[in-house]
Amino acid sequence: MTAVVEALGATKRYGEVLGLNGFTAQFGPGITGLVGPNGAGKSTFFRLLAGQLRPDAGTVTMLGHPAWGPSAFRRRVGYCPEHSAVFDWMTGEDFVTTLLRVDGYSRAEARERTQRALATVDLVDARHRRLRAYSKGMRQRIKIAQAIAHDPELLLLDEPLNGVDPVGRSRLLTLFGDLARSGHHLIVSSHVLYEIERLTSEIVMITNGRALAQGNVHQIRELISNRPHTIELTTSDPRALARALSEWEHVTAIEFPGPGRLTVLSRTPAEFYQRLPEVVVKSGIDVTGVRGADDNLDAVFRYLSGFG
Amino acid sequence: MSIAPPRYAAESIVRVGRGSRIAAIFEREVGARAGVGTWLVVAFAFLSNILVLLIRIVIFPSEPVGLSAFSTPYGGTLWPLEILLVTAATGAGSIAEDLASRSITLYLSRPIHLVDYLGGKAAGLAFWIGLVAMGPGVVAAIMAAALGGVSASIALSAILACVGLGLLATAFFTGLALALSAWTARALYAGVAIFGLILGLEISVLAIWGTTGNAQIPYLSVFVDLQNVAYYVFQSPGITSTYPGLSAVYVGAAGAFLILLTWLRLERVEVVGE
Repeated sequence: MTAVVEALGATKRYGEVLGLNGFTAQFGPGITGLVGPNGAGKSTFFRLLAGQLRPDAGTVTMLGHPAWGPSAFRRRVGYCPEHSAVFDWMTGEDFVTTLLRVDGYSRAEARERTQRALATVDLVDARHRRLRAYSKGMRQRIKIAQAIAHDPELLLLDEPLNGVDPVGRSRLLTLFGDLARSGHHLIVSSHVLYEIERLTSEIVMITNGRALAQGNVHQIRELISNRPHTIELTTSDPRALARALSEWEHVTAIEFPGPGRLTVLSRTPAEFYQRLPEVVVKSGIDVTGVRGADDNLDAVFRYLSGFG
Repeated sequence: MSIAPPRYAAESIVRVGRGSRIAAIFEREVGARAGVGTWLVVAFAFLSNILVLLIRIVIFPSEPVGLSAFSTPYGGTLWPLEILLVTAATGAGSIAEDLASRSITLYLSRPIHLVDYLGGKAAGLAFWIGLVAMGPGVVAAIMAAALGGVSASIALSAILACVGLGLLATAFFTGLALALSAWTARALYAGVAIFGLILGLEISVLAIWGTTGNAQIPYLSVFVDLQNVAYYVFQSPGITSTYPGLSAVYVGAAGAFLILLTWLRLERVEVVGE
């Protein structure tokens, strides 16, 4: 994998508090989710990438350049910070246009690109309103507009969906997907795991300033061998199915969470899924649903961080 | 058939130079500072100084009316106080507000240098401070010439003197505002510091001078230094400082030092969240 962004032992202290603690991770092409609870170090990492913080130790490189300090390569990067960071007295249109001009676009080109970016985030009608009159969701969208307006190769999106209404959320997720499909690289942070799951399965998990795991969420889950996997089954005869499954060596526990439902803990889910059809056919039990309950980001994160 | 990931194709756009980028920051800064308070100070400065000058030169002229007649508002404390007011009104929030809202991250995550950001900010502040420092004198000179109070050549000399003196004051007060605004994320603190520092300095200088009688002490006062330079450039008879050049160097050097201090401060600023 060619790393678009790479952190090697990146450490950042705020006095006695460690914002990042030897954070090492690689972010490849396409969309990578940076997930972790509040205070895990996600925003600190983004600020390091945005050149707003200098690492106390280690290195952070982005598109092959050190992240700290000003450089021409920054025009290849779009940054949407987590915090408000807007000029309240400006109109939405002026805000995006000004930042595009700072990026090096002529006045005319900046205006044209601003219109496109505002249309993308559905803020054309509000373009002449001052930002102080924008709702939280609108502010979020205007920050995304300024981040994408110059068509950057790499987008750094720190909690980009915070405060955005469900319709806007869905549109933005579609937009991020479209950007990735057109060759852009996105690093998206969120503490809402299902949002990241909708976008990508490539993740970097962070907690207490350290990378907990990175890669494909399903692969990461498979690597956790010391915890049995939870599989939920929906069936017409839970007790009969439980009897059949209890003979399998890798099944460590069976629970009945509700009528017609069965929860099985298996040490080797691959084998479980392979043998389940055989049992169903032999016993004639009607199984209407099978779901890997913890083959998702939330469960993986809980396991890895010790909260599971 | 082979499957390959999508590749980003960068557009080829001709970028404008640094000057245009600084101009974008300058324009925003001028707009940001155009509040009611700023306009009130500007209006008061124009009205008071133009009125004083026209009364002195056109309505009740002393014979003969020369360049020295234009020194009237600049020889007192009203003019530097007005500059101090506009400096506090416009400069207190200049960088402090960007730090407080952390919108500075949006500027500095762009491909610009810190010096560009600082240059745009300084130019925006200098616009307002310069307007108060130079505007009234220049307008009054033009009006005095138009009303027949002075000859065109005297009016032109007055304009040049106003601009020279005004530039010196603008440089110092712009540096002062930037330095103090960069030191805090609270505009109110910066505003209080701008007032406190200058008025505290003036009062201290007067007190020490009164006690010691040391003739060098007044040079520490910005107001006195600006008056010294004003008397010199307007060629006021009988009110001549021993070293007006020294006063000009003190004020100019202090302004440059304050801007350097701002740059050093911002170079170390890390935008940290709560």
